[in-house]
Amino acid sequence: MNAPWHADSMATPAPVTLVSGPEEFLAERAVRDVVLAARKVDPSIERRDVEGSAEGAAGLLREALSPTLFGDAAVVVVNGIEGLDDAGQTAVRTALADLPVGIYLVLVHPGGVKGKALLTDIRKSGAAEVDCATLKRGGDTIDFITREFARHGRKATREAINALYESLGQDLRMLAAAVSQVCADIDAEPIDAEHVHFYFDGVAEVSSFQIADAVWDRRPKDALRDLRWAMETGDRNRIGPSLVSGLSGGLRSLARYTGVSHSMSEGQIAGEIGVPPWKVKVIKRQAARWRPAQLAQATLLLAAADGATKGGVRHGESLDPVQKAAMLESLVVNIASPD
Amino acid sequence: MSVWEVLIGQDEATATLSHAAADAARSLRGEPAPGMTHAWLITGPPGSGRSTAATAFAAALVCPEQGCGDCIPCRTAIAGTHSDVEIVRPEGLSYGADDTEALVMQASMAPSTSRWHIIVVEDADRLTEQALNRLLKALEEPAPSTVWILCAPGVEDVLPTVRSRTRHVSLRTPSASDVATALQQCHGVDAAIAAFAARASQGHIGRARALATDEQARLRRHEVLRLPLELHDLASCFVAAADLLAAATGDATALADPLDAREEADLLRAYGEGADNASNARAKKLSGKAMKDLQKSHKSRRTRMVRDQIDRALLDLVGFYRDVLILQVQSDVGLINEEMRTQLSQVAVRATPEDTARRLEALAYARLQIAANVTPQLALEALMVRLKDPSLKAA
Repeated sequence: MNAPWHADSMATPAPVTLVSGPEEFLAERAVRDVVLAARKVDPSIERRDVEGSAEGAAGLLREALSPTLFGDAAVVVVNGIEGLDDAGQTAVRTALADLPVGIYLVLVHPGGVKGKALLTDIRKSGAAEVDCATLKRGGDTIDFITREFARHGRKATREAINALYESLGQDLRMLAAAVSQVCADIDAEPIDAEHVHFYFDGVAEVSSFQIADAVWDRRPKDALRDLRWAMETGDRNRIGPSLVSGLSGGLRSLARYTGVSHSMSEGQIAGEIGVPPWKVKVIKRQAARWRPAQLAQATLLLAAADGATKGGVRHGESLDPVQKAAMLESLVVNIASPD
Repeated sequence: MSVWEVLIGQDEATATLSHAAADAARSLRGEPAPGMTHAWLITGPPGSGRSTAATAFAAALVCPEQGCGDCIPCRTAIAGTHSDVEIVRPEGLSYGADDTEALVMQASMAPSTSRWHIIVVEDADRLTEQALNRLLKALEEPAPSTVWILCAPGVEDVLPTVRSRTRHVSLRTPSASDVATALQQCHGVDAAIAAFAARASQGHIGRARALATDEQARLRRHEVLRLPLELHDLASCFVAAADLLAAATGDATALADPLDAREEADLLRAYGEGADNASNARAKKLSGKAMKDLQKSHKSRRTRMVRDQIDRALLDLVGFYRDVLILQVQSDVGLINEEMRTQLSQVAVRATPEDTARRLEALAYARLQIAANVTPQLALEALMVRLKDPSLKAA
């Protein structure tokens, strides 16, 4: 009985649920789902939390599991079962063997090797398991965003989903909050990229990714305009390092792309050069505009610029803020218009 | 075994320091002691044994026989547990003014069991300028029985004001045969591997030890030295940069993992772990904050170690192109990478000595960039691009 984190919300919760894996946000949500499902059955149900690493956790757990005078039902959540001492583990095993009436037991394990024996016993006991493994970059996270929209009963275009991912990255909590905000404010169906841009264009990372995209698209004017805008509106001290890292990420994929065989599928290419599959199309388009020698030159420019933003490589090379801004401007223009 | 015997190929420095230790003993009897002073600066190329020399000197000062190597003061001084020998190791990325403040306070205290209170600062070059400035006063007017021993790669790595307040001892790069003999004696490795490790490490003793005793380290070095042969096009330059980074990270992990684990275990023990489950749980709980601080410092040390190992790998590549240059100008100097003679000759005939010189320049520049905090991967990518096409100039 092993369900991924995105299984449809359950009708009635299993008596024992194991929530395993390091993705905290998903784990918290899985626990909440059990509580909500249990409340559908019995609205008065109470949630009792026990910290696995707390002193005397065994006693606390036994107390939480014991029926009250009025026979109230409860969801007992044990957080961090890897931190249980021997007595605590015994208490869990006892509960698995003979679960008191009216109790739903939720056991949370953050992954890793600690508490492996207990984990095995829980699985053997036939507990329902929700897998909260860390999502991989790219595809997995894109799926997550898609499902978030579905949770709200909404649809979004592929572009909108990619735009959210590019703006907010890997932080599931932020992504879930962003999806819920967009769904609450936008009535149009499906939600498209423009709606997302409307909300999330101000985020700092967007600017440096946008600038990088303009550079690798060889649109020097756009790159310069975006850079100036970023310097006007954002943190001037952060734009240097974040621009250089955005540019070098793009350069890395382009450079690696020059070495792939044209007979490869997009999926194979993605694996070979280490980018999410949906990005391959963009890279293909950009790569058509570059010769390897130009990219080589760009590598040297970029490494030199990184040194300059960090106070200079040799003695006396440090720049003041005005010089730094000028250096970044000439960097994007020089890279985007080679030769 | 005398404390000086662990110094490899450093006869001159050993003479100066052992003379100083003898004079220190004389000064305690009220006799003239021109060989001793209260502040020392030990310099030498990386891996020449600066900190070993410093701890040996400290041991000689606390030992009643000036460094017998067998008595309790000697052994505890070398192990870093002697109550009058403070060993400061700026292992993170830098060592700031606040840290020095505490050190200066300690330095004003009298020794407890021996006649000298000794403070060894390893890697004094990692002290920030502010931190060094705080030391000045203490170096100039130390407590009567306090001795400072600072270590740095070269005299130019510390402030001139610090330099002028210390007596300078310089170590030299030990010869390959000295290193090989030491490897055979101390680690029992066979002659061929000892000779290889000594040659390949170019006088860096720690590196020689790793190469002689760790097959994985030899393998990683071998992979790094294959990189120049694999730079066919732009994509392979970027792959090579990633490979070098992975090899250096592997070397750093091999050093850092056991250190981290040992220090975490020590911390838990200090908080009372070990007796039973209840005390284990309590130790874990009580040590929470301290453990977090420790792990933070481990992270910073690991970053430092990765950078150091990248520099090591780049020095291996410097050795590679030095060999190429030697073959190109048909000098009869011995090759560092004798076992790669065939491949080296192929590279040598395909390029001009000018190309090789430019490649060496590119390597020197990449080392500078990484030292100046340029993202290592980016600096390495730029380097590989220039190694492939030496006519390109750094922007």
